[in-house]
Amino acid sequence: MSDCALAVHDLSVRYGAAATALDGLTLEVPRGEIVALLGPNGAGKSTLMRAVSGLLPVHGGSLTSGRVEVLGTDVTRLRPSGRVRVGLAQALEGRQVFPELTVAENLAAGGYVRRYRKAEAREVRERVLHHFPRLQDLMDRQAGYLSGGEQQMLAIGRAMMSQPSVLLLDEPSLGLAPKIVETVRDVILDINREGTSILLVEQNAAMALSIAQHGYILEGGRVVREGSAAELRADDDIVSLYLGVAPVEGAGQHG
Amino acid sequence: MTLFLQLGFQGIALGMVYALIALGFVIMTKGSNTFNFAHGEFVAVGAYVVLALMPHLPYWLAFLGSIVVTVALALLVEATLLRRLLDKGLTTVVLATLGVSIMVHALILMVWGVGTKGSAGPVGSGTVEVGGVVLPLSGIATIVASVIVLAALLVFFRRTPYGLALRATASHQEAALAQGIDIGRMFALSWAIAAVLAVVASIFLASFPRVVSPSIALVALAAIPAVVIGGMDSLIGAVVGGLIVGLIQVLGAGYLADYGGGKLHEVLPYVLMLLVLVVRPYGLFGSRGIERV
Ligand SMILES: Nc1ncnc2c1ncn2[C@@H]1O[C@H](COP(=O)(O)OP(=O)(O)O)[C@@H](O)[C@H]1O
Ligand SMILES: [Mg+2]
Repeated sequence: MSDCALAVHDLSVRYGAAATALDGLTLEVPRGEIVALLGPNGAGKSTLMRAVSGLLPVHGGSLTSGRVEVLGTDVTRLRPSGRVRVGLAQALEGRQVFPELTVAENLAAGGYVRRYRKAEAREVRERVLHHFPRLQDLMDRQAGYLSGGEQQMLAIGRAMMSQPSVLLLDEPSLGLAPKIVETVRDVILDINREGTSILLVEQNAAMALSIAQHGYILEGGRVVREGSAAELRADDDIVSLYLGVAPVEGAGQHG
Repeated sequence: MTLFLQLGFQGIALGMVYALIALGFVIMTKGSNTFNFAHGEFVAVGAYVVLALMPHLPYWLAFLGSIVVTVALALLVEATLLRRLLDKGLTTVVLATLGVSIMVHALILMVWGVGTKGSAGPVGSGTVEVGGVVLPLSGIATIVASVIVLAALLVFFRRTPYGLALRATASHQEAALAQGIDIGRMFALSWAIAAVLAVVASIFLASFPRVVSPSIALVALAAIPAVVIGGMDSLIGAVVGGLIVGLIQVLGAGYLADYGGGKLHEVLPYVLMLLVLVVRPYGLFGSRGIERV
């Protein structure tokens, strides 16, 4: 399993006394790849993200079984901070920037666990901002005043500040105009090409499958289908079920 | 005019003390989502420990010793009670702090008795005259020390990784967690900072002509109107609110001594607090949508 960036084995999650949200889920993100996790609202996509990054307790959820490994290290018992230190970063659903903090401070907060020295912090920030030229001009702006697209860029940039090996993205295209979705997709692809493995949660299946190598389809907390992105794109059922949702212009040309 | 300047100076000095206490309330509220009613008793503990250590140690060591004791007490309460109750809701936590307040108060009475003690300030009863206005040294020390502490706090919040992490936690807890900020540690840190501020405030609250007595915690609670006036979640608001409360208390005591049996000045901050709550519920500098206790 250690050849995987991220390996999730037999994961089950419950929120309080409510029904099981994830039911024996197994999934892998091979090193250097983008893996898409697709599925309708309420399928358990965000729940999986939380289980992987350790944020379940915030939402009153808990693991009832399973194991999470990042780069071959078992992180199941680690706190979120420990998981970030191992090399995992996450951009939460709905962006969730720190609205009162400036763009520069948001980015600095993303590098918190690395305890960068000043020069080091500047160097990492330059490298991250290279993907987001738009943010360069907004460094002193409060993040709450950015547009949705800018906030999404900031959320991804902030996550990249810890120089993660594995990046979790929860619906980065949510609520963005098609033009911006394209930009976001290109950024994800760039980040991946520089070596970061990515688990990409999307409802916009066309966008996700256009850049992923592999895909899982989740329904009711279970994997109902998995395959290479090409296979899934070619599957008539999936096309009619998911790919009808907000297709991206030029989808596939990067795939 | 001389009287006004004299009272104004005293009001600012007292206001700075309230500002330090109010800042503690705000930092705990922002950093750990609790309103700690035991904070007044933390101030009292600070003063009593300084007083107890003063005869045996140089003053600055007594002060440091009190910081160690008071911070330890705050961390103990935070770790044993609050973090366990956090998911039980705000009301439970606030009631728990009220319980802690009563326990600490009883503890102080058991250890030190009900009587009043001496002053615990760093300077004695001396005065200096500036252009005909007589200024007590204790007031000058209060203002100078408070300004230094405020500046240090500003640098901490603006320039250090821990300060940034605290502000991030206050801004969005889940997002802070997702960055790998240990928010449990941030809760503890915010309580520790509040406790340090409480000790600094305590030595000036117990400076000449005031003394250490069990009622010092009640006096410290006059910082609550300061917090409400300034806005629950605003650090600047805490300072401005503190100054407003200090000034109206001292000016009120000076000019309204003939009314209401000389007690009118004690009511004024609360009258202003209620006015602010009606007209501008989030305070002068607070943001809307802050959950009120
Ligand atoms: N905080 C929560 N408390 C209780 N149930 C939740 C909570 N969050 C999500 N759920 C439930 O868990 C299931 C999966 O939700 P989620 O992971 O958010 O799905 P998705 O991200 O795929 O839309 C849903 O049935 C949802 O109602
Ligand atoms: Mg979701």
